[in-house]
Amino acid sequence: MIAVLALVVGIILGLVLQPTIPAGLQPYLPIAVVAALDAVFGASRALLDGIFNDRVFVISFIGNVLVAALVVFLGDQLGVGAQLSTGVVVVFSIRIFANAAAIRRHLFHG
Amino acid sequence: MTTPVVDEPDASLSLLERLVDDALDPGYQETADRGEKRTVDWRHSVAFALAIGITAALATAAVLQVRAGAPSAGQTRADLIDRIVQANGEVAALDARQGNLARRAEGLRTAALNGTSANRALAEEVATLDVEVGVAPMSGPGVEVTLSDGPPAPAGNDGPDLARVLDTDVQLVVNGLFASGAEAVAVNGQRITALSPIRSAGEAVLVGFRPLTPPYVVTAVGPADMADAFESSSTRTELNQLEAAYGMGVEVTAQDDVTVPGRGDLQLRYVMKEKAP
Repeated sequence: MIAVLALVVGIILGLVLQPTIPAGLQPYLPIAVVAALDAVFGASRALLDGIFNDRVFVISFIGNVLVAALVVFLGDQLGVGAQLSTGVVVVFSIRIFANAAAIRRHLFHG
Repeated sequence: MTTPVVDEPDASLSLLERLVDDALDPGYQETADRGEKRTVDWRHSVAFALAIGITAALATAAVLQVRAGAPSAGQTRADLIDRIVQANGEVAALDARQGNLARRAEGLRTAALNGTSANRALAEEVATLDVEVGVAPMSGPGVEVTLSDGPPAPAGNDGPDLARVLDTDVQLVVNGLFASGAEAVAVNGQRITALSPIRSAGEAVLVGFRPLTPPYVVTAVGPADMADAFESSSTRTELNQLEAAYGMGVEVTAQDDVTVPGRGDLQLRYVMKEKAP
């Protein structure tokens, strides 16, 4: 319930404020979004598993975003930014799918 | 329900399997196993809501960014097309103004060269020269030759598109028409004068420095038997070969009355003072 509310508020904030991302940070924005999504899906699953822990969640959320951005930044400096971006997106996507599947099982099997 | 931790060494070797099995941050399970607080208080909800809000705002910003950047290529193209259309309109307006001024100058000249027989002779000479130089429009019986591109080369063929009408093909027709007795020739409304190059720039054919688009219609005013002369000329034989070899479209029709426009933008390049009588 509160999650849905936060989702709506976040989208509205993004639409209203139209934050302009500095050009230097633009390549990392999609990666950061995917990393954050992964943390949110993980937290949702932990909540349903009954093992949610706010400390773990905040650390995984910030850590995910920062590490993903750092990996892509390093890749950019090394000239393999696009490949590393793909790697990061693939890993997070697989985790998101796995967590989404677990959440689905929770919701349908009570 | 908790994800079973896979301990078998074989299974843990599989990268993908580990990825799926560890999909949930291991930290959750570890803290739970250590028996840390599992109470659900308001701070959990706030942290969770905050994270979802930030994620949603980030995602929205990213989407907006992509959507703002994506149409820029199409926007540039549309802007360029707009500018081309506008510039073409300006050229057409200037052309019309130039034509009006030329007609006015002609009228004034005719008025000025009225009276004495010497003046009339001069006026006649000017009229004859106007036709020969290509300033005055001409109409009368003539021939119309239409050149159109052949079927395009099949995709993947890197070579030059040989079925395309080239500048040399247009030159061939223009020269052939003059050889067949044409007095005035125009390509797509561009009068051919002694100073009208027919050349190509990139894929476009330029006549008198104006880019033309196919099909190329070559209009010629000349004697009534010009069509027959052209049909039996060596030019026509060459065109037949182009037709047969590349599928280029060549159509020659005799016309009872065609009009070839004049070329107004001739510049005065050389003036000689006449010896005093």
